[in-house]
Amino acid sequence: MEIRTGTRRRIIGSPLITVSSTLVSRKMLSPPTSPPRLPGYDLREPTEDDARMALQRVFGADRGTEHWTQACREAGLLPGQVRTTPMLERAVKALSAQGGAAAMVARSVEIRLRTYARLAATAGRQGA
Amino acid sequence: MSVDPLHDEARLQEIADLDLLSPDVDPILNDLAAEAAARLGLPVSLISVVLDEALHVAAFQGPDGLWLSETRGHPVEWSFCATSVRTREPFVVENAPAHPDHGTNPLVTQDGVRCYAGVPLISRRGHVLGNLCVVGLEEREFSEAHVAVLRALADEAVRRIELRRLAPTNS
Repeated sequence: MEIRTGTRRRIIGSPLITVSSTLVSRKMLSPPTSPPRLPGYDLREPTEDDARMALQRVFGADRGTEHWTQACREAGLLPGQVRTTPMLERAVKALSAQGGAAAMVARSVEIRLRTYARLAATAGRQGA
Repeated sequence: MSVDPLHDEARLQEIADLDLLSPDVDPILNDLAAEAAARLGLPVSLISVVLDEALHVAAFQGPDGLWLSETRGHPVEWSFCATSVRTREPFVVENAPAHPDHGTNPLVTQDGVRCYAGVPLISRRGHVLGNLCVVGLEEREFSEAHVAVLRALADEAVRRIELRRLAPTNS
């Protein structure tokens, strides 16, 4: 039986190819304009650009922009001016209300926001 | 240009049509996750829905206190399950730190994941929705029989999911 194990395939029962572990190098400093990333997780808090680009990957440039513009309008926000996390959360909630595949994109952004917040809180407690 | 299945609008629409993000899904599938964990002797099992940029946890079996049980998902680039969405085949990782794709995965380096086995959930319309998978904190081998167990449970999960499409609740 053939089972996918990443970039290689192997037959179950055959020996595993051993790959040496490598140390993970971490960036100690980020450029001043780059949003902070969680140490270890290398995770950045999502932004409006991330949400809009996610929509464009699924729907194409024009329809993706239309979905985002509509979400911002429903949330009482201006596209391009969604600058804070609470504003992004409002826009994502409005995007979710559109239903269909747009709501799936909204859930993706929501999960990424939630994961960032949860892990940042843990990192904050450990660093305190 | 071929579309990455993760970003396929029709696949995401299928997930929406099946209402797989509803909290109603967990009680329908949770016993299957529990059975997978028990039969393979691993601490964590989940039924995932792989979205475009994140993995959504539809059903979860595991110890208390894991952040995953709070967030009910994580970024898709950390997802072992995303592989099966692209290949439509089972995916096993027996030694995660040594795996070429997942050796630097934060779930491995930060959270201690050491092994994974998952099989795709493929809807009647042919879309890969996510995976039924098990996760462990120690290296281990998975046999063909182990994968067969997961495949049978995944088939049952899809059967239940499709019943929801055919017989939606009135709530």
